[in-house]
Amino acid sequence: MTAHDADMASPHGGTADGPADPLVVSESEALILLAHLVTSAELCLTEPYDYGIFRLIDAASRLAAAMLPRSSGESRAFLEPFLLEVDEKKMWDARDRERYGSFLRETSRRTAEHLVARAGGRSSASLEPGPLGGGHGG
Amino acid sequence: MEAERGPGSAETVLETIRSRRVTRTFDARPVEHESLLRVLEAGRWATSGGGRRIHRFLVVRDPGTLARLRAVTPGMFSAPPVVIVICTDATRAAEELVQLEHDPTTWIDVGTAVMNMMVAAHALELGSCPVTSFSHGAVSVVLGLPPTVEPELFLLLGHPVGPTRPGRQTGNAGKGAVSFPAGLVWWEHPGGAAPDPTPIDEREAGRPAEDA
Repeated sequence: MTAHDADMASPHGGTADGPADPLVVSESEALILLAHLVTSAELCLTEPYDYGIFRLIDAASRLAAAMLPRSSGESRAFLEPFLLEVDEKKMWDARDRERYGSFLRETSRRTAEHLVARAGGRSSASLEPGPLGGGHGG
Repeated sequence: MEAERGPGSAETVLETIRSRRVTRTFDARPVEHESLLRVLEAGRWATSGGGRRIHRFLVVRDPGTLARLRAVTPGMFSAPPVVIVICTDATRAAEELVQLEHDPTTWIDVGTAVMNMMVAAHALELGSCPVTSFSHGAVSVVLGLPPTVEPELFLLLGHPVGPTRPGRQTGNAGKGAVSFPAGLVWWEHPGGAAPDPTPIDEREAGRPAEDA
């Protein structure tokens, strides 16, 4: 387990004997994002179904924007193009499932690539299985 | 002053209506107070069911309040310098004997007011965006609204950043012959096609003589 893996496993982002990740979101910024997520969930009760997809990717964009100023150079190199692309493409019509789906799948793939790169280049295939044996979370 | 009416002024009004688009991102410039008053005035002159005027326009300009409002308004993609919150005043509605639970004009009047304000904003070279994607309960808390005042719709107002997106239904985008997207307008009955614009007399003149 790398220090980064340990950080990801800890709710506080660090261990007693390992280096902690820098905190990149302030309490105020986190609360604003929390309010956005909670109210977005409420709106899913009444709004068109495809809006929910938009709310989640919009929340990701807001989180990335909040993280950017205090992120490491490595993460900034990921976040800057991420933000540019997501902020443009999130406004596409989500009812066009092929086009919107392609954008989301590509964004997911690139995000995973950044996660893997930060963990030292280990792909998910080499990670140890979790308590549920590496199955789906649901 | 009597407003000018006629083909010339009609074209100005129609072109303002046609060219208006929703603005989603605003720059940091404040909205001039005189412009804000004129936008509010346009809302004031909108139709109101039975002339009962049960709505209130709450103007929010404080940056802190705007930031908190945005946090509970997922439909607000950027922070505008002004938000006009169109509210229903239940106290006023009760005084005017309006049945809020059953009377659709209470919502229609929100639409007429916001449309008037959006067209006025566009004429004043401002951008605007209607937003209904907010948590009503959370917004009431942020704005300190009493239980008798219900937020219905936000109108975001400010100076637009960059070009605005073209509308989905553009129809005819300029002057000349009027046309509509297929299926938008039904004539005389559901699904009815547009009538022949040729005057009836001319049509009769061109018709072959019928057998006696």
